[in-house]
Amino acid sequence: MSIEIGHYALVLALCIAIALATLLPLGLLGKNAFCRHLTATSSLARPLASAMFILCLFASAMLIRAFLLSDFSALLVWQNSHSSKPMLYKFAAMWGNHEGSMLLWVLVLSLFAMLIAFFTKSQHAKQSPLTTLTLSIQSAICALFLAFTLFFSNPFARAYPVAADGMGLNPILQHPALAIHPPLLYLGYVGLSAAFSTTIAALILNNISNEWARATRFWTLLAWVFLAAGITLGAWWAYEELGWGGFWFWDPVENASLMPWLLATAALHALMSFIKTARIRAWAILLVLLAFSASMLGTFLVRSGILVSVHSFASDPLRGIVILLCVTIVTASALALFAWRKNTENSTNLKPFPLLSREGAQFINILLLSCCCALVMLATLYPLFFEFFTKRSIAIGPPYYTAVLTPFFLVIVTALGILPALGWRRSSRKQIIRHASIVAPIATGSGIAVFLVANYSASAAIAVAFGIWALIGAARTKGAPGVACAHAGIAILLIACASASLNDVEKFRTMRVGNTITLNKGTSSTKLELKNIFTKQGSNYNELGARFQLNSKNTLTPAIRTYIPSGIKTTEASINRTILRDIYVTIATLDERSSDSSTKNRDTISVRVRKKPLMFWVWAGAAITIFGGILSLIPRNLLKRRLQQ
Amino acid sequence: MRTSFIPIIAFVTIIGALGYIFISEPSNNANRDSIKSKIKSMPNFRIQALVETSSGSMGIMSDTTIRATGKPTVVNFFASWCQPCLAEHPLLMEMALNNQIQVFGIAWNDNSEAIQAWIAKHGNPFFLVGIDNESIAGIEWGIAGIPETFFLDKKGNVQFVHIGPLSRETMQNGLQAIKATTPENP
Repeated sequence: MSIEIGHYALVLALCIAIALATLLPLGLLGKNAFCRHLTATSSLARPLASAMFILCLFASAMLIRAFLLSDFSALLVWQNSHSSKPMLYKFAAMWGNHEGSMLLWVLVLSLFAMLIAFFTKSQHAKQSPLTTLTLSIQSAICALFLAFTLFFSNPFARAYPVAADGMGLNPILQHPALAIHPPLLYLGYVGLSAAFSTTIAALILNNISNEWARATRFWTLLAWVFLAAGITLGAWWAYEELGWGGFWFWDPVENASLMPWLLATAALHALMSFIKTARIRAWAILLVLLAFSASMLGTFLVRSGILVSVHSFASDPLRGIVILLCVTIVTASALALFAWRKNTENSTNLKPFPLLSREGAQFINILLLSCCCALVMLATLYPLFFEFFTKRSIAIGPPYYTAVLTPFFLVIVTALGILPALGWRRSSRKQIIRHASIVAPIATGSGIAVFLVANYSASAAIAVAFGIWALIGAARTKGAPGVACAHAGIAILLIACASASLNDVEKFRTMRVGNTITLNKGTSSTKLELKNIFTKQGSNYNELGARFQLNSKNTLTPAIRTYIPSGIKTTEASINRTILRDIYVTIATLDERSSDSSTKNRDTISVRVRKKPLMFWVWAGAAITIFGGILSLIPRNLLKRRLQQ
Repeated sequence: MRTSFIPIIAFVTIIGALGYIFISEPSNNANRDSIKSKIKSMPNFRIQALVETSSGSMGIMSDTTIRATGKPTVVNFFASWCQPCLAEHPLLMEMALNNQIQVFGIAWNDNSEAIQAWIAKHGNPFFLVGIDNESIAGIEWGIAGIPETFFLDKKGNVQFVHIGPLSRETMQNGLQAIKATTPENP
C-alpha cells in the first residue's frame, strides 16, 4: 500500500510542478491584483514549492521504507536488494539503481526549487520578477524529469509473483562512501540547475544584472562545493574500496562528474569578474548554462549505459532516447535563447581589458578550464564514435589526459600564483615582478630539493615547483579567505597528486608465509613480512585475508571477499597511512576457486604492495579546497563581524 | 555576432551524433534475459533430501546428489510458505504422471516438517525433494526467487527456465524445449 501512496505523491508533485511552471509567468504578465497575488513568493510560490518538495521527499521515504522492510513485492526492491544485506546498504540501495537514482535526482531538483522560493532575497520589492521566473523555470525542469521518472522509469512498479528474496546489490557498491557519494554528487549536479534557471530567467527578462550574478554565483558555488565533495568521495571510494591502487582513473563516469565541475569552476571565476568589473559577461552566462547541460549529459551518458565502464548499471534503449530528448529540450532551448539575446543586444564598445589584471588572469583561467573540459569530453566520447565507425574498440587512458591536460593546468596554476600581485582593472608591472622575484626562487628551489633529496622524477619535481608557487601565491592572497583557502587546496592537491602518482613504488610477487617483501626508493626502504593467511565469515560474505607485519606496531590485513547472494568478489585493500606516505597492500589469488573456505591450508598468495608518497595530502588538499568553497558561501560582512568579535 | 550561435550548433551536432549511435546500436538490450541463462547444465552438489519410502511415509536422506537420470528432467524450487507455489502445484502433479520425465523439487528456506505436512496435504509430484535451508542449491542454480522451474534435457542441459508460477502454456513450452510430451497428448 505504501508503494502506491508513494507513487501517488509523485504524481501530485508533477501536477504542482506543472502548476508552478505555468501560473507564475502568467502572474508576471498581468497587472491586476490577482496577478500580483499570484506572483508574490509568500502567497503562492512558497507553499507550492514546499509542497512539491515534501511530496517528493515522501515518495522517496516510501521507497526507502520498502527497501528497509525488504518488501520484494516492489520490483525495484526485488531487483536491487537482498534480505541478508546490512541495514545501511538497504537504505543506500534506493539510489544504487536507475529508477531510484532518478527519484533522487527529482528530489534534489524540487529541493532547489524550494530553496529558490525561500532564500533568494530580492533587494527591492517583495516579489522580484527574476525570482518568480527562476522558480517557474526550475519547476518546468522539475516537471520534465518528474514526467520522465513516472512514465519511463517508475520506481514504484510492482512485481508479481512476489519473490522470496531479492537479487542482491553489487557488493562493490557496499561501502559507506558509496552510501553518501551519489546524494552528494546529485546535490552538485542538480544544484547547478538553480544557477541555470536563474540565468534563463535573466535572459528572458533581458536583465543581466548584479542581482542575477550574485544569485547565480551563490547557487553555482553551492553546487560546486557538493560536486567537489562528491567527486572526492568517489575517488576515495575507488582508492580504499575497489583496491585499484589509485584514486582517479579517467573513467567515463568520473569524467562525467569532472566536466560540470570544471565548467562550474570557470563559471564562478567569470561571475566574479562580472560582479567586480562588469566584464566577461557572455562567458559567464554561457558557462552557467553549459555547466548544468554537462551535468545532464553526464546523467545521460551514465544512465543510458552507452558508455561501458565500471559504473554502468542501466541499459534500456528507449529510456536512453527519452533522457537524451529531455537533455536536448532543456539545453537546446537555453542555448538558442542565449544566441538570440546575444545576437540582438547592442554591443557597447567596451575597452579591451589589460591581460595583466585580475580579470585578465581570470579570463585566461576561464578559457583554459573550458579547453580542459572540451578535451575531457572529446576523450570521453571519442571511443564511442571510433567504435561505431570502425567496429573496433579503443580505450583512452591516463597517458592521454596527462599529456594533454598538464600544460593547461600548469598555466592555470601559474596564473593562480600571481593573483596577489594583480588588481581589478589595473596592475602594476613592478608589483608582479617583485612578487615573482620572491616566490619563483623558493618554488624553483623546492623543486630542485625534492629532485635531489627525495629522488623525485623530473616531471614530478616540476609539478612540485609549480605547486609551491601556487601555494605561496594563495597564502599571500588577502581579503578573500575562501579564495585563498580554495587556491591553497588546489596547490596542495597538485603537489600531492604529482608525488603519489609519479613517484610511487610498486611490487607484485607471490609470497609464502614467512617471506618478506622490500620496497626501495632512494634512501628509504620498507619491509613487509607475511605472517599468516586466514579465512573469515562476514555477515553476507566470506573472506580470505592475509596478515603482514610492517613494523613492531603496525600490521596490514588485505582481503578478498566473496559475497554470498551473487558470488561476486571484491578486493579489500589494507592501508597504513602517515602524513608522509601510504603503504597500500592488496592480495589476489591466482586460481579461481581459492577464496572458498575449502582452502584453509593454503600458504602462498599473490601480493601487490605500493608506496605512495604524500597520499594523505591528496585528501587534505581536496578537503581544504572544499572548505574554501564553504567559506566563500558565507556572506563577507557576516564573516568579518564574526572575526571581529 | 554570429559567434553566439557556435555553442548551440556544437551542442546539436554532438547530441545528434550521440542519438544516432544510440538508436543504431543493437547490442543494448542483449543482456535483458541474462538472468535466465545463468547456468547451462545441472550443477553438481550434495544436499539433504526427503524421499518417499516404499511404505508411503517420508524419510530423510543425507548427502544426496540431484543429477540427470537419462530422462528429461524438471527441477522446481518451491517452499511450503509460498502461495504462488501452491498455484502451480496441480501442473507439477500433472507432470509427475508422465513416466518419461523426472520431477525434482528443491524446498528453499523451509523445514522438513513443514514440507512433509505440505506434501501430505497437497500431494507429492516429486521423485525427491532437496532441502535447501542455507540457499546452497539456490545459489548454485542461480535462482531469482521462488517458484522457479528449470527444464533440462536428457543430457542434463538447461533448455528452459521459468521464473514465477507455471501456467499451462509455459509448462508446454518448457516440456517442448526438452522434447518431452505432455500427458494430454502422448
